[in-house]
Parts: sequence; C-alpha cells; structure tokens
Amino acid sequence: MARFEFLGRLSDQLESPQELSFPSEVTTIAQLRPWLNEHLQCGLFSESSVRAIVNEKMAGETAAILDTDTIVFYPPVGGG
Amino acid sequence: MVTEEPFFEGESLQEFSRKNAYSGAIVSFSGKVRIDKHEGEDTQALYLEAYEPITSAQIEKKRAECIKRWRLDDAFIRHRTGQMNPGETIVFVVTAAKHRRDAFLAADFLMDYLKTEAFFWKKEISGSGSKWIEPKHTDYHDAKRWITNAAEDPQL
Repeated sequence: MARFEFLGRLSDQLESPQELSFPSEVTTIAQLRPWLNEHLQCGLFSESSVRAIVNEKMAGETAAILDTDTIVFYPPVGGG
Repeated sequence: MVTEEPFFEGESLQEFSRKNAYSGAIVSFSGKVRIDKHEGEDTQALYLEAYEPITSAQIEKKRAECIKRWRLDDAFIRHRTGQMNPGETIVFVVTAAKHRRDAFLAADFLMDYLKTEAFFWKKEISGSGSKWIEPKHTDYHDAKRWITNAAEDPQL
C-alpha cells in the first residue's frame, strides 16, 4: 500500500492521509494521475499545476513510483 | 524556523541583535494577520499549512543564498503555521549586515520569496466560510525583481 497525502485545497475534497494500492502497471506519476482521478472520482489530478512529491522529493511526471512509496500531491503554493 | 506556536518577535530580535552586536545594520520585518474585507466579510483568521520535509529545508537554502548575495553577517526567519488571529505575527525576518542597504535589500528579498515560492498553503477564514488563496499578481511581480538583479550580480 502506498501512503497518499493531499495538501492545501486538495485536502478539502479528498481524505488525507490515506493508503491506497494502485495496479502494478502504474509505474510513473503521469500514469498515476488518471488512475487517481478514476479511483477517487475527481478531476483534480488532470490539473497540470497540481504537482507531486515522492518520498519527500519533488517528482516530475516520469518519476518512478512503487506501491510502498509516500506520494504527496499539492496545488500551487500560496506563500506565507 | 517554522512553528505552530504563537511567538513574540521582540524576543527574537533582542537575541539576534545580541548575537550580531558588531554588525553595522540590523533590519527586521514582521508580517501580521490584518482584518481585510472580502465580499463584505471581515477576515476572522488565517490558516497556514506547510509540508515540513520540504518547507524548512527550502527556507534554509534561500537564507544561505541571501547571506551570500548581500554579504550578510546573519539572517533569521521565523514563520507560523496553523490558525492565526488578527494581530498575530505570521512571519518575522531579520538581517544583519555591515551597511544598511544590504540589510534592507536582503530582508525585502526574503519576504518576496516567502510570499510567493515558499512551501505554504494559505486559507482565509471569515464568517461565511473559508477560502484558499494564492499569491497576488503583485506578489509575483515583486518576486521577479530579484531574478533580473541576480543575473547581473557577479557574486552569484
């Protein structure tokens, strides 16, 4: 199971944190987005401004993911 | 550096001034929660969220960059998270340099960074509910001033 966290406005619409198990054919952030949209019944992961962090490091679309990772999605930062 | 606890910046300033007793210039800035009208409603509180594995590390990186760029003796940043009420301090920045210009510029630079790029998410809470807010166009414009200056700065 991967641990998911959703930050900022994403946490208003999605339970955070939560554990999810994604299919083995999903191996990158880009592939994870449509799966999350469908699984969590939202369109938030189609937004290109919503970015990912994998195991505490910023992750691009091609970043590899495993079912044991901690994966964070966040909207544009709001500043302090 | 990032704290959920309310703080009184006077104590931090006193400690910083003592530590940098021989700096020629010390400049400090406090950002506080103000009462703003939004759609006729007063802001009752502000809520700030950080992602701690990244927020503090990025602020520290920017602090180090700032010290090098303006040849500071020192710089200190304290930033609140969680829910804050009007009048409470959100952020406190203080810089120490040999001369005042560097101390002023460095504090301005750090605040522009904190207002636009720092890893925080901000929500305004009013009587009718709450709303996540993103940096204003003017905040981004202010932050961009330093990109041009950085390119021209031979120290970087």
